[in-house]
Order: sequence, then C-alpha cells, then structure tokens
Amino acid sequence: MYHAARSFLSKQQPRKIVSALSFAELSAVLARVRPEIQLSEPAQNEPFKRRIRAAVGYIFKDGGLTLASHVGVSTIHVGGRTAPIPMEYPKAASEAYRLRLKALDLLHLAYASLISRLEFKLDLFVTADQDILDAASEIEESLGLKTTHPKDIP
Amino acid sequence: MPVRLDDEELKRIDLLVQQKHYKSRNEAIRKMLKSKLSETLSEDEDVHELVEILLKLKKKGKDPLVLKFGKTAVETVAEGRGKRPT
Repeated sequence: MYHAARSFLSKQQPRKIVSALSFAELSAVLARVRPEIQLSEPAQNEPFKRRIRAAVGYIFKDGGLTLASHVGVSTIHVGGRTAPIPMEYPKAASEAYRLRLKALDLLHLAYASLISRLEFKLDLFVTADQDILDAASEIEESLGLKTTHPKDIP
Repeated sequence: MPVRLDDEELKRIDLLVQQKHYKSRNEAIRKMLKSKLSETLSEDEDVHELVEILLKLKKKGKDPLVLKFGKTAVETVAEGRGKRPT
C-alpha cells in the first residue's frame, strides 16, 4: 500500500483533486501520530500546530494535490426548522440508504460527487478503504463515480 | 468594473440562486466577494515559507518529512474512521 500510494502521489498526471474533508482528515492523522512526525529544521522547532500545518502543506505541494473549493449550501427542512447547510451533508444523507456506509465514507463520496459536478470533472475516486471499494458498483450506479485502489492505477 | 466568469463558475452561481441562497447573480457575487475579503489567514496557518524550505530540501535529495507510524498509514486512517483496517 505504501509503495502504491507513494507511486500514485509522485506522478504528475492525472491531476489529483482533494476535498476539504481529506485536508481535515490528513491533519487529524498527523496530529494523532504526534511523536512520530519528524520535520527538517527549522520546521521541527515550530509549535506543534504549525508543524502539522506545515506537514500538510508540504504533502499537498509535494504530491501535486489540488484542494477543491467549497461547493455551496443547500436548504433543508428538518425537525421543524429550515436551515442552510453545506451541500455535502444532504447529499451524504440521501445516499445513506443505498450505500449503507459510515458517515465519513458517505461524506467523502458526497464531496467527490459534488466536486465532479460543479468544479473538476473526476475520472476516478482513489481510496484504500475496503468498505468503499466493496461498494464500487453501487457507488458508480448512484453517484457516477468510479472507485479504485491506488495500486490499480496504471 | 466588469468581471469575466467562465461557464462553470456561472453554472455554480446560478445553482445557488436557483436554490434561493441569493436573489440574483449580482447579489451572489457581491456577498461571496465580501465574505472572501473578510477572511484572514491566522499566523498558525501561514506556513508558506516553511513549506517552501521543506520543498527546497526535497529538491536537494533530503527527506524533509519523516513519519514513523507505529501502525501502517492505512491502519491509522481506518482507526480515525472508526473501523478496523482490512
């Protein structure tokens, strides 16, 4: 997996689009492995918060990742209240019955679906998450997204 | 001052107007611009210089970021998603 991910990230093409959720998830992963992050000087001497941010920034730049921007809000009516919320949430909720994945997985897919429709046309949703890969055909049918493991990218 | 927008951007703005988040294209653009201009990057988030230094080190053949996970990266991500790695 490590080599597959490394090889995928080192390629210039195809263009790699990352959602705001992946940005947050990467920050969370790096923060949880705190003692094991070693950055070169002078970054290593920075406060922890800045070290995490610098590591994320470096991974994005080095891996040629493009952060997708916020795609908008939807108005929903629930519990007697009408509220504008980020579009990803109602999209994730509306696919829950069909895909039956965990909330974070649904949100990743909802982000990808909206990004593909509104910002960058996506050819593939790349993941090593087995639950998502197992639901590949349902995901393609309901969201029009092809999912693949990084090792299967030519 | 005229502003040029491409079809994709206009499509997104029209979608927001259609969903009644804004009354018109004009209001949408004005409010989004206002919101964007009021954002500032906190000192903690402004790590541009640090990232540039790390990238220069990489170009020199060094590995400026070393992650020593006790578990694999897949396991660590899976843990954060509340599931067991496969």
